[in-house]
Amino acid sequence: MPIFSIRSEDGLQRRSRIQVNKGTKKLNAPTLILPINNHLLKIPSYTKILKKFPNIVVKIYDPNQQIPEFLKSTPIICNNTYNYYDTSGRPHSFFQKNRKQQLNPNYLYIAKKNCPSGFFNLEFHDQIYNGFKKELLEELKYIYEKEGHIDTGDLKYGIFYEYYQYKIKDQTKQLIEILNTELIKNSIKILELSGLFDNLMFFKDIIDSILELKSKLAPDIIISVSGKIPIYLFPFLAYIGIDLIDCSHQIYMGFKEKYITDDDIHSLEEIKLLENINCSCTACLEILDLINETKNQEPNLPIQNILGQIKNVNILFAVHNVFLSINKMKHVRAHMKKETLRFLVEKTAMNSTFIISSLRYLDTMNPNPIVTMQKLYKKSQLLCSTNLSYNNPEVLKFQERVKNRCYPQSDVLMAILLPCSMGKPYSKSRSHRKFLKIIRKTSGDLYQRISQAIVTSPLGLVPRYIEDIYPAAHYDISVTGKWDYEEIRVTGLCIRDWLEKFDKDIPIIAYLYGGYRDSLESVENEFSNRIIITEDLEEFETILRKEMGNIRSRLADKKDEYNKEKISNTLSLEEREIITKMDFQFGQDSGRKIIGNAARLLQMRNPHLKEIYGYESYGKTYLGRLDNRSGQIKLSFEGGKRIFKANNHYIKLNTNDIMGSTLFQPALEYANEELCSGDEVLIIGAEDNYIGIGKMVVNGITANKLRSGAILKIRKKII
Amino acid sequence: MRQLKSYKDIRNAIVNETFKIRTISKKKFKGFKRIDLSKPVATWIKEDRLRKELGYEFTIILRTSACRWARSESGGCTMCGYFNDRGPKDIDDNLVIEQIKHALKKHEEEIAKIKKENKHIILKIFTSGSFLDTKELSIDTQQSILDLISEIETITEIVVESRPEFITDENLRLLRQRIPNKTIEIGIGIESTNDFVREILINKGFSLGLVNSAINIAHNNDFLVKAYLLLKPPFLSERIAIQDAIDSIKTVVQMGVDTISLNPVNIQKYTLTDTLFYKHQYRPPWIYSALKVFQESLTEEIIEKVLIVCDPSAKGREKGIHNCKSRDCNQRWLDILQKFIFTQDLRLIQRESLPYNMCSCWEEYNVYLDSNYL
Repeated sequence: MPIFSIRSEDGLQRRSRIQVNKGTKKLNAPTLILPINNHLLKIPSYTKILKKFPNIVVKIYDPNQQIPEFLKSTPIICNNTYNYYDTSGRPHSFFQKNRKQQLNPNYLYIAKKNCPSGFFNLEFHDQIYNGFKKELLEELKYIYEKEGHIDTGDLKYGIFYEYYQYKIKDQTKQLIEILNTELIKNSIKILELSGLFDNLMFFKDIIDSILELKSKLAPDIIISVSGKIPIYLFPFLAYIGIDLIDCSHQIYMGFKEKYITDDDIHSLEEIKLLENINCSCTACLEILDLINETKNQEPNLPIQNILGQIKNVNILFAVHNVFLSINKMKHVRAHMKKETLRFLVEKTAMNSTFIISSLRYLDTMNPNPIVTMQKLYKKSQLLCSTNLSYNNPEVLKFQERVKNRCYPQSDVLMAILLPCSMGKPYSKSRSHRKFLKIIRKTSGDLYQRISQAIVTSPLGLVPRYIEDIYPAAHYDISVTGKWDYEEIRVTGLCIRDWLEKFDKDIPIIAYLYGGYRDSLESVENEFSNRIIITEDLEEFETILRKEMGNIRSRLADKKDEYNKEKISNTLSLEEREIITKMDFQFGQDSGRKIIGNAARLLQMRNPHLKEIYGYESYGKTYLGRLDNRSGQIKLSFEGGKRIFKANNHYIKLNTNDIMGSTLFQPALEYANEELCSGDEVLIIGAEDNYIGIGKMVVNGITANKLRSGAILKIRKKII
Repeated sequence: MRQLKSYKDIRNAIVNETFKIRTISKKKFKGFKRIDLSKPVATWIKEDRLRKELGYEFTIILRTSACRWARSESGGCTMCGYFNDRGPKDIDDNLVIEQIKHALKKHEEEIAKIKKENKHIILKIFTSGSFLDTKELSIDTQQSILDLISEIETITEIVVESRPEFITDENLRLLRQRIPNKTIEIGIGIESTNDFVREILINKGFSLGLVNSAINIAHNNDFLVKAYLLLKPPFLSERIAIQDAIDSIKTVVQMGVDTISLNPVNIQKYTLTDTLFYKHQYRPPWIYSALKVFQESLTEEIIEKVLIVCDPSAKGREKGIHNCKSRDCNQRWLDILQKFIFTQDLRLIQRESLPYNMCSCWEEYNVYLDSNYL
């Protein structure tokens, strides 16, 4: 049974489930680690937290620690498996002694370096971990020879790696070297990184280290971090794919009489700036009661002095800090479920330059490590709140897909560029209803041969047919009419990429003003097409009418040819929409393949869904359905068959026999690396035959490296 | 030693660093010209526990050519900075005798006063090295120092310090002849009975077997043995350090020592602990820890057999054993510790009777014990 199973991914972040043993609690990760020892268990409010919030991992430092009844089924991390101790001097083992004492199946044992604390230089750090590696390997070899396996037994273990102050990248290399040795690679369950976030100045090194670890290690290793981790870092840590966060620092801060709020740490003296405690957790209510009691007697006493007089104020502070951490973590998980974690990260980024710098660094990397893994079809809103949002991976991925996958049909006669609107999808908004009316009026029967695209920021450019796909119909940005330089530059590039796809004799008519116009004008000179820009709607109509007249007269010259073409080749509006959406989702050409002779969209009883039917001489075929909320097309078995071999969205299995509804790692031979969690995917059997269609649980990159666990949910399969 | 071979690299790294630090200290040293070599480094008299009664301690720290181990390429012990109080390598032995005379003269009145009170003195002669090392103090000098002391009646006990390799049968026999009536105790810095801790982390450079034979030799010649144990050597976390000290006390009692002195580490200049301290990788032990060690290791039987001593340097300060920043808290707990040492009464440090809830740092301490940060 895997201890750690990934349930969904989105970029680097992942939601997962931890279950250490059969019959124990299933926890939703990312979550917190709370330490316990005999002393902490004596604090009633602390044990109350442990009882009331079941979704936490408990950490102990003494293997013989008595576990209270209410924590019996909680996963426990045993963090005290040094190897030299316990006899006078003889180098001892990490696990052998423990094995004699029978390992507890609910524990995750973490092997630590020989010296529990302190490095004076990097060389010493290296030596310590070289020694550690040697000893751990020796020990695992011994266990392997004795029992024939490591990971299937009751030993569930991990490694504790402590970072020294600088040259973090080199240390990560060393860690990867340790983890990539044959015995450890296949059996390790958890990795604890300590001190990595102690010095936030080295944000580049930290991000590089995390990316390096993510790319080199098996994805089903639990990554936990400990050390001085401030509370506002939680969303960011979840965003870069950390599963467990040690909360000891918050407790320690509390005992040091430090009061943590959402964005800061206050000492007793600084609480007077807050005027009073302003939180409503049980600990704070207790403090408030005590404050009021004293205030009744001595009304003029400053708040910090009152707090100083309260006897157990540090315990209450510690409990408050834990409460706050748990709440924050719940908040993070809620945003992950809603798929809006990026928004929370951008929101909390203002607390620390580290997060801002790291986000900028991550977003502007080339090639961007997140974009390929970024989940695109979501149902949530995308709020672009800061200028960090211009490089949001979701935005970048959308831009990239429009650039590489969306092409205007070959029979297009005219290209129109329009400004974006407040209401989404655009065509439902008042302004766009007006535009559409004008275009329909002037174009008449040539309407479907006019390409429309909407210029916007930060998405750049949205072709009309994919205006209801995430994030085109879901983003929101504050509009002031004033565009900054970066917006104009990026939008200009997107416009250029789009206009390049048209023939040179096709006229481009733009109803654009302000920043929209600036961005078009910034790239205008690169085209020989006739570009007409207008800021007046009435003028727009006259121009359109005039241009359409020109086109009609040109078509009339070659009327016979046109008629022939119209009968055999012209696509209906719905077909064009299906083609563009299919191309956007599955790659170029897949749209044409699925349509066959003719296709239509039919509204289902559910207002959010539309069915796609293909019409052939032998009758109609159900090809799939379109979900309006995310713009994703879910193919039927027949639909999948049509685009089989026409696209990259497939996984290859080493078997033809797929039972049940979930596909697990052992059956996988290869998954395309462009795949993301939540993507529709074709399943290909051992003999390159099409056997079904499903939905990815994890990213393609993850699927290839996974040691065990679910890869996709099968939706339709060959019978 | 054979088992510690796998730690060769770690050991080398520590030895290199300590040696480097010693070299720096040598470079920064301004020479002996400003130092009056005929005066000892320090002398003091204060209240202390003797073997059977309360009395006074008279400490003389002599300036000699310093510890041979610290001078060597090993760099010396990782927490020891007594090397800084050294004299020149070829210091004249007469000057050392001068120092003793100077000290005795300086405290003449106080000694006379103690004599009037009918109390006794424990004389501690420390050399920042080994008293019994013949290269540091020749046998003649050692003997003439003892001659000087033997005349003073109030001094009933004498403590000297030495590394175990210098404790030889021949040497001790000669010394015993000079002072037949006074108790002489030889302090050996065992520090920890865990080989890894002692030889790798502290870089002490001798095995437990050597200590055992030294104890036997001392006992055969009617000398007592005092074991110095270190609380929280570098590279150990607080909890492990406590466990280490507890184990060490138990082992040392079995080895048959007569006094156990628990020495909490204090940060001394030009040492590895100093480097670690400034890199926020080391914090001196808590007073709670010292008490915890005593609570968990000592029994009535041990107390009857062995004298327990703990006189920390830099106590209550940031660079010595301390609890929180509160002066009251530190003083309160140091008083408790001192009271226990003076009375050797285990009831005084029973967990139930101690005022743990008086200061908020007790909670902090209990989380600190387990956490990785310092």
